[in-house]
Amino acid sequence: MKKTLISGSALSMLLLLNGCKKDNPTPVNEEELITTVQLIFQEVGGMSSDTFSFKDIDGVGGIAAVTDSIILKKDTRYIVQTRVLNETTSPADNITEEILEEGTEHQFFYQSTPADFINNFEYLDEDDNGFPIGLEFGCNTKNAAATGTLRVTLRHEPVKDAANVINNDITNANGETDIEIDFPARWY
Amino acid sequence: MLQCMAPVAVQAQSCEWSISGKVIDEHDQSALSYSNIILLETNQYAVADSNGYFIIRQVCSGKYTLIVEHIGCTPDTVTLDVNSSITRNFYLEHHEEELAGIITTAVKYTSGLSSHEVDSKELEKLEGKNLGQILNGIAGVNQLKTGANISKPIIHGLYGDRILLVEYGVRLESQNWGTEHAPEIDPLAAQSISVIKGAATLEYGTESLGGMVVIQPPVLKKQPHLNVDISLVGQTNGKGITTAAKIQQGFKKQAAYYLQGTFKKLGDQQAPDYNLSNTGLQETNLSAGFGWMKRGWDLSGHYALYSQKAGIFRSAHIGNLTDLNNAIQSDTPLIVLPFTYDIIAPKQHNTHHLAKVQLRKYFSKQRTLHIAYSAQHNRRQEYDIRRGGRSDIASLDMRLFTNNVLTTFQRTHSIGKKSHLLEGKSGIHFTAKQNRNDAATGVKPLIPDYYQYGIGFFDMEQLKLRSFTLDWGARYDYTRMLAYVFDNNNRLQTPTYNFHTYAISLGGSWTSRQQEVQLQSGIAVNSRFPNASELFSNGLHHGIAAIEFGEPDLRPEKGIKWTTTLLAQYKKFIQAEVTAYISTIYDFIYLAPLPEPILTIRGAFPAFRYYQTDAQLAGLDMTLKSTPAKWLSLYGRYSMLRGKNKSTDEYLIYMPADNIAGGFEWQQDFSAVKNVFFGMEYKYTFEQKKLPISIPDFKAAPGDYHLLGASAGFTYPVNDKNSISFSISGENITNSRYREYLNRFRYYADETAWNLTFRIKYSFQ
Repeated sequence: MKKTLISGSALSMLLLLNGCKKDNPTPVNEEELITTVQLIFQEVGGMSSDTFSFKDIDGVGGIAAVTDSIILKKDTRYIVQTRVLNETTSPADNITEEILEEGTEHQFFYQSTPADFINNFEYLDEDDNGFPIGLEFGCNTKNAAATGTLRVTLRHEPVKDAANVINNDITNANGETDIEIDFPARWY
Repeated sequence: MLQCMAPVAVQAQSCEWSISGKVIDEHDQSALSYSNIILLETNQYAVADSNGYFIIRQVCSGKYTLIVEHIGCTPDTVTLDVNSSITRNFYLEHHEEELAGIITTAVKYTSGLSSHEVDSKELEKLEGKNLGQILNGIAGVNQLKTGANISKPIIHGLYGDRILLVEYGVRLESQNWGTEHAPEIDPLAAQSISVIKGAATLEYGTESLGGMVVIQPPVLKKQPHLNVDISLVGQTNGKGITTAAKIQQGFKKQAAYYLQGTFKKLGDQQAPDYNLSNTGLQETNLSAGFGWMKRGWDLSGHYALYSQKAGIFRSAHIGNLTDLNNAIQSDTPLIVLPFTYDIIAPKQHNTHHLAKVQLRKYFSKQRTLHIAYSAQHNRRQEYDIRRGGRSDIASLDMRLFTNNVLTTFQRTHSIGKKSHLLEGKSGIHFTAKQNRNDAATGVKPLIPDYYQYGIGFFDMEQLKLRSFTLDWGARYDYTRMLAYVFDNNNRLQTPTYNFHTYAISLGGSWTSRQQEVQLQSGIAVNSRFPNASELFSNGLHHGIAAIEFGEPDLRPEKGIKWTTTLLAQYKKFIQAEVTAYISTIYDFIYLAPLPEPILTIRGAFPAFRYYQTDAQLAGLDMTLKSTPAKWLSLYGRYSMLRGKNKSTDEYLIYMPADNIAGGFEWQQDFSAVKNVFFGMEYKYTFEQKKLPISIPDFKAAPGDYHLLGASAGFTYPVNDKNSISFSISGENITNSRYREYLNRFRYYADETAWNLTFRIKYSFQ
C-alpha cells in the first residue's frame, strides 16, 4: 500500500514536470528606456551647429556610459535643442516626441557650475498650460574663457506653478528625476 | 502545561477548573496510553500516562473544543461547557465499523522546542491586523516593513527565505520574491498562529535558519450542528472596515466543511502630522475546506484565495539620489494629498491561490500514512508611475506556480515496559516550480524566469521517557534550478544549478516531577540555497535609489544554531520563560555596496552586490507572567539580539533593536456579561546603535520610541446558542511621532498615528 502510494505520487509528479512546457522567454522591449540625450547648440547668427551627447547604450550596468565635453565659444548666444532617444531599437526611438506630448508632466532644468557659467537663460517652448517644457532654450556663455559643468535634469510630474520653477529654478520643482546628467564644459 | 504561556495576557476569570479522565479504546475497553488531549481554544494540553489517565489544570470557565488524539486512531473532538471541574472518559476508535471520530486538519508538531502560539481568543482581539502585526507581540519576533502595508516577520534577526511560513500544512512559496512583498496570509481565516523558534521544521524544508510560522486553518468539527461567526471591524486610522464570516458544519459524524471570507478596505493612513498619500489597501480573501471520513481513512481538501491591492506610499517613489536627498532633508513627505480611498500608481496587486488534497490512511499498530498534493499560484503585479500613458500597464508581472507532493509515514512504538514511547515520522517531498514574467511590461524583470525541481527525504524521531524527551531528525534535499536570464545585450543565458542542502536537528527536554521547571535544549544545522533574486537581480530599485546586482556564483549558506529554553513557574503566581540562542551562519548571503557608484542617465547611483561571509547571531528572549489574583494578570517581555559579520568584525545591517514591553489585563465574568476585560501595554524600543560602519546609510538610524496601547471588551451571551462580543482597542494612543529602523520607508515619513479599532463579533451555534 505504502509503496503503491509513493510510486503513484512519484509518477504523478513526473507527469506534472513534463506538463510544464519549457518555452524560452521572449526578451523585454524596454520602451521607456532612455539611452541617449543630445544637446544641439546653434549659435545665433551662426551657420553650423554643434551636438554633444550622453550615451549609455545598454542601460543600467554593462558597458559604462559616455559623456561628451561641451566645448563652445565664450560670450556667445546659443539656441539649444534637447533630443532624447532610445538607441537600443533600430531605428532609434524618439522619446522627445513622447515628452512633448506629455509636456504638462515634464520639465527640463539647466543648471551650471559656476552659476555665471551661462547667463540670460530663457525657455523657448511651452506646454498646453503655457508653462515651459525646456526642449528648446536660449542662453549666453560667460564673457570670459572658463571651465565648468552643465547639469541637465528632466523632472516627471514637477510642480510647474511653484515659485521660480518657470525661471529654470529646480529648488521647488519636486517631482521625480528621469534624467540627470552632468556635462563637463569649456568656453574658449 | 508551560507551553501554553502566551505572550499576550490570557484571560483570568474563574480559572481553577480542571478537566481529567481516561482515554479508552472503544473497541476493547483497554486504556490508550500517551494520548494527546488538547484544548483547541487555549492550546492547553496534557499527555495521558501509561494507564490512559490525564488532567488539564487551570482551565477557565467557557466553551471549549477538546481534541483527543492517539496515533493510529482517528482523533475525536468533544465540545465541553466548563463551569466546574470535569471528569469523564473519552473513547477513541481504533479500527471499527462505525467511525465516531472526526477530521482534524491540525498540523501537529511533536517537539516542544520553544514554540509560541497566538490562540483563537487572542486572534479575536487582534482582528483586522496583518500577520506581521500579530506576531510582533511575541518576544524575539519583529517585522520588516516597507511602508504601512507591507510587513514580513523577522524571527531571531532572520527573515524572508530563512523563515518557513506554513499554511494548511503547505509551505508558502512566494518568499523568495524579495523584501517588498508581504506573505499572502489572511489571519482572519486562521484558528491559531504559532512561531517555532527551534528545530522541528524538517518536514517542510532545510532552510529555516530563523524559525517557522505555522498558520492553523479552522478545525473541521464533526458535531452535526452549524457554527457561524460574523465579524465587523472598523478602524479610525485609514477609515477602514474589515468584515469576515465563517461557517463550520459537520454531517453524520463522517463529513465536515468550513467556509470563510474576508473583505478589507482601508483608505490613506495618517502619520501624526500628515496624510500618508496612497497607502490605501483592499483585500478580498476566501477559503474553504472539507473532510470526509471512511473506515480507516480520511480525505480532506482546502482551497484559499488571497487577493490584495495595496498602494505604495507616493513620496517613496523617487527617481535618483538627488530626489532621495531632497526627500530625506524634508521633515514632511514631499507629496501630501488629501485623504482618499483611491489607490493609484505606484501600487501592488497580489493574487495567491492555494489548493490542497490530503489522504490519510490509518493502519493497525499506531501507524498512519499521509499523502498530500498541493498547488500554489502566485501572481505579483507592480504598477509604476510611467511615461507615455503606461501607468496602467504593470511594470512587473510575475507568476510563480508551485506543485508539491508530500508523503509522510508516522508511527509509534512502545519500548520496554510500555512507559517509554518512540514516535517517528518520515517522508518524501517532491517540488516543481515555475516562475514566469510577462514580457508585455516593457521593463526588465526583477527576477528572471526559472524552473526548479526538488526532492527531499526526511526522518524525525522522538523518544519520550519518564521526565526526559529526546528528539532528533535529518533531512536532505536535491534541487535543480534552470534559469533563463537575458544579459545586457538581450542574449539568452541559461545557467543551471544543482543544489544539495541538508538539515540535522538534535534536542532534548527535561521536566521536573511537579512540572515547575522545564529545560529544553537543541542544536540544529540548516542549509539554504541562494534564491533567484540573490543570484540574478540586476537593476534599479526605485524605493531605495540603489542599483542591485545578483551574484550568480553564490553557494548555499549553512547555519548551526543552539537554542536553550528554561521554563519555570512558582505556585501559579509567576511563570517565566527564558530563551537564549547562538548561531553561526557560514557563507551568509548579504548585500553590501560596491566601492564606486554607477553612472546612469538618471545620475550616479550607489551600487550593491550580494556577498557571502560568516555571520554570528546571538540573543536572548524573556517572557514573565504573573497572576496575583484570579482576575488580574501582569506580563513583561524583553528581547535582545546581536549580529556580527565575522570577516569584517562589524555588526550586521538590518538587525532589530532591543525592546522591552509590559502590560496588564483585568478580566472577569459577571452574570449578564462574560469575559469583561481591560488591558494596557507599554513598549519601549531602543535606538539601534549596533550598525556596520563600512555600509553607509542614507539617513542615521532613528532614535528610541515609546508606544502605549489599550484594549477593553465584553461578551454578551444572548442565549445558549448566540453570543455577541464587543471590543475596542487603541494603538499608539499617545500619538507619538517615531520612525522604525526596520521600515524601509523610514527615510520618507513617520510611522502611523494613533488608531482606534472597534470590533463586533456575532457567534451562532
